Amino acid sequence: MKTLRRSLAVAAFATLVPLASAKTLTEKEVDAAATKIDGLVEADLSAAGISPNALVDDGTFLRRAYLGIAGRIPTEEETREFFANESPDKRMELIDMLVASPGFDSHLFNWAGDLLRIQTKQEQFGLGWHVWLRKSLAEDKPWDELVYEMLGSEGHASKNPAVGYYLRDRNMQLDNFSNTMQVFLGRQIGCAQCHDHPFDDWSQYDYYQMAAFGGGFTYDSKEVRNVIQRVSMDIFPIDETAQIGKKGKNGNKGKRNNANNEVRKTLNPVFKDFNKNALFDDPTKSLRLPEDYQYKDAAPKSEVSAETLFGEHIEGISPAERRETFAKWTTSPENPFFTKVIANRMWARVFGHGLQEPIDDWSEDSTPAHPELMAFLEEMMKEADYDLRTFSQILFRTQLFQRECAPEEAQTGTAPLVQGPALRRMTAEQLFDSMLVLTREEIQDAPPDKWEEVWEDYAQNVGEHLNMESKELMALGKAAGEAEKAFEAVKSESRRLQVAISKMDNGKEKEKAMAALRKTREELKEYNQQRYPVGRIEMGGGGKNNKMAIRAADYPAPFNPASLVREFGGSDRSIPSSGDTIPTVPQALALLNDYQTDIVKGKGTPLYNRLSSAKSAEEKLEIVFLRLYSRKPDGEERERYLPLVSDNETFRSLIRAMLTSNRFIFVQ
Amino acid sequence: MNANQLNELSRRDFLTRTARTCFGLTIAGSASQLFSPRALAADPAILKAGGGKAKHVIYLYMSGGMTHIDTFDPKPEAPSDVRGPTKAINTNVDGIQLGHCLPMLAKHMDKVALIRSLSTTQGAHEQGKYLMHTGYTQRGTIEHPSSGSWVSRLSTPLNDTLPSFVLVGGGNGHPRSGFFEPQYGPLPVGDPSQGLRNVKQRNNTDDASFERQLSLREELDHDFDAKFHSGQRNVRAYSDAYDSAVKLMHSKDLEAFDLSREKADTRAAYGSDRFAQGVLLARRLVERGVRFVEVEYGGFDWHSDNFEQMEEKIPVLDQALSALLTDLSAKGLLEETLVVVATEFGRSPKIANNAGRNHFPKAFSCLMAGGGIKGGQAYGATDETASNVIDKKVGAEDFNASIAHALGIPFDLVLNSPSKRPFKMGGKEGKPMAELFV
Repeated sequence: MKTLRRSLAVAAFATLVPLASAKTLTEKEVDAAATKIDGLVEADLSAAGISPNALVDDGTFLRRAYLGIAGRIPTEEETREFFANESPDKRMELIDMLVASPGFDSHLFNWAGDLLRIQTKQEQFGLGWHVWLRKSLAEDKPWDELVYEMLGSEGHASKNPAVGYYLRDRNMQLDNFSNTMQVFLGRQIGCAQCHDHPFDDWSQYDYYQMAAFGGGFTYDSKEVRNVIQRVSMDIFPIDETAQIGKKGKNGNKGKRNNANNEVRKTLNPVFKDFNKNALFDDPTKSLRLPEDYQYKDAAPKSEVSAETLFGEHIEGISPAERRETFAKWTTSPENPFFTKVIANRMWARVFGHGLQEPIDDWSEDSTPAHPELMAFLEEMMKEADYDLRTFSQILFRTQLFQRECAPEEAQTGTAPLVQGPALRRMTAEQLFDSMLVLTREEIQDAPPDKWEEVWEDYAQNVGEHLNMESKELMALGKAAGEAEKAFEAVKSESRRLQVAISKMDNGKEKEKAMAALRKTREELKEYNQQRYPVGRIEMGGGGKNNKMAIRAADYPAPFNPASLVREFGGSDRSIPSSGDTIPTVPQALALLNDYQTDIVKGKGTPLYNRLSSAKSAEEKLEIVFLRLYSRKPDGEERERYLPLVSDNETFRSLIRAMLTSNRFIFVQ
Repeated sequence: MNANQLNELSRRDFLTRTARTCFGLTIAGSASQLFSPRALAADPAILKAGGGKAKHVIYLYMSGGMTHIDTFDPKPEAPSDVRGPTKAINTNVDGIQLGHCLPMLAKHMDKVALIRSLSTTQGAHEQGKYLMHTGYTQRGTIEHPSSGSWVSRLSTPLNDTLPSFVLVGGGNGHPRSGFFEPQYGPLPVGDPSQGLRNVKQRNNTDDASFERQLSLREELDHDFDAKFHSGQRNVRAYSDAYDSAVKLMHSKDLEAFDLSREKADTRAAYGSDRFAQGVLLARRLVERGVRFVEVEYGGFDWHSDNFEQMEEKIPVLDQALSALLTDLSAKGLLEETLVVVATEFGRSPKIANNAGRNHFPKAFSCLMAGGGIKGGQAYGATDETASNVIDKKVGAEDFNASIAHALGIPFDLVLNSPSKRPFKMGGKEGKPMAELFV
């Protein structure tokens, strides 16, 4: 494969490119699949008497490929390189290069993070889950495996970060289950959580039977239980042979319980937060019907045994196996929905619209557009072994991906025949990352190492504390308990000082109080460290102040509500795939007036520097067109806009107008 | 003819044109009556039924499902595993009690109608929130407009430069304009203390270059728009958004978004929480003619520690809502401003593990005040454990129909979606709650 020279993040790129041998399909097979897809689409179109849209020109293709595959517009250099390439196969070369690049991972992670509602700063596990997912996608962990690992997960997040999938919805087992069905299997059965489904075959009992596979969620750490037991044995040895048979608190069992309680209490400050980041399935617990269950088929509050209601029929499994069984059943290639749902989701990512719509609402009798194609995609997803990179590559290599957008949008909830990709507004993350291209000298497509390091430190710290010698651990627990008390005392002193200072006049006394306040703040910092010996994660900000600009995917999610990303519809990570691209007035205001979108603000900016090096007005106009629109101005545009370039004021107006234009923010 | 007359004429012309484009052929007869410049209603039937007094709505949305049994529908006689530590307190209306975290609101009970008989079948957040906002069950094939968008669509703007519908602190997943054009959707404001950002031209930009920039924008998009404008809603929406943005930038009423213009005492009276400041912002916007302001208050999903979280969260609502009612009354605005507190569902009366309460759509409470609502009443009732509605059961569609009714908008007015399906602000079968109105 002939790859283009990459100007950005070369080192990171080199380490993250998957080895050719790891690919699940050969180049030939990928190519054949793409050709087959075009054949199936065109056959359906011709049967309906319509034709596919024309192919787009190089500039449109380049921009669509960068945004669609790598999640950002190309740099000027990358654009020039593409135009200069004379190979007849240059479009396919570009696709292959981008699909293998870290930009692909970043863009895919935004999609997956929104789908799974990852909140990076949720307790400690949030970061671990974030890092785990980012890495898993970059390493081409197959989708079925990735989902299996989450659905079957248990233990502490430091050992198994996939457990974040369940911790995300602590104490909301049923909501989590409804999301699982919707996200991975495209089944919307949430209403059956409270009553029989109004327009589907789901009864509330059916719902509970499926949810019962989740079993008895216990948000607790087995590791900590074991540590408490071990420390208790070490610190309070009891002669287990004496007093056999004595009951009550003087019996061995009672003594042991007392000892355990004592240890638990002492160690609580050490493991309190740590303990929250874990869960396991307690086989002695089972799901029960709700108290207000209103149907005659079962009594309220009765236990429900797990049973599948579509696909392979499974019932009567032992509680110890239920979680794993469910994870297997969901992600099995035999599951009637799992494969199509992810294939259709990938299709919608590439072409802007699903073959089945809405993409998360399937039923037994769903009839997607191009049914034969849908069946073929399902087959290819299996052939590709659920490798999302390879599967995407097939779709990007179709002729269809090179066709013009249809002028008319498809109606909500319908899936018409496909003549070309849908016109789309950039997602908030695509816009954020594209702004980086325009405003920074360099952009880092690969994730920074920082988050992974922070997470590894945390996990190591947790491990060390679990293995700490019993006496040491007890001492630490006591110290942490003391620190907690001291912390509270200093905190209230600090508050008192603050109030007092606000009422004081300037002078010596005030200075003295201020000094005391500063001292309390230092003490607070110190005590704070001591009262949380485990479980602190210092993330700090994102890459805001770094010279190297970090992409949206590598900021803690979700973005702050007042950020540009959220203004442009970036997800708040509360419900699956809630990012949107709906135009609003504040977006227009942000592109008109916000300092963050001012790409021509004075000297020293990358654009200014670049334009200063240009020799002619023609060259300047070309530079801004290449940078914002990924193509050169055509004859008419040259004629129209060249006169504006010579005057700084008018040239600036032109550049700003380009940034606010629909041509910039929409992906054709 | 002086300049004012000219303005008035062109304004009327504008309204007529808007009327035509809005309604097309979908509504007949009474439609023109909606365009009365002040209150919305001229329909005698609505007026006779006590509706049509409100010109504005302040819609406070408690996101996550606010516990009804600890707030608007307390049950002091219920068993302790239902009641928990919540106590009921008396209000200034005999026979109506509130949960103990609402002592300030208790003093305004004479202005307030509690609605204790809401019941829906949507027990998940996304779907419940959708239903409360639109009056329709969420379906894959259509996006319904939210109540604010219905109002925005069916009312004349009272202010030429400010939007009709503002959403403060709303998260993703709000149905917004649904199948209506996005111009009827809300203007979102993230942080009320920051107000509306980016409304000032950049320092290095004068009016002339700003104008130049705007016209260049259109020029650059000429071919693009020719191809996509008619077939793509989002493309059309950006044209509207830029027009509105520029109008806003030049608005005399921009200070409406600037809370620092309020007295420190007033700001303190509402409370310092972001939500409380949002409620104050809503009042400022309504004063200047904004029709519908929704303020979202998140974080009511208390599956654990219900009673601890309640002590933190409910007093914020209590203070802000009470300050709002006081303020609107003092300014003489309460009669023309409908104040609403809504949520997607209640919480299970039986206390669950970890002192939590789970989702409970079968019975829950909301409230309305002002805007022609008869205060001092509790509409509907639940049984002794707040588990079942036993009197005047109503749903989200009745709730929205009542908002329409208060504004004088016919709740059963049919507008068609682009796919030619008929929809109403009052949902499929919603009816206003007649007793709410005098």
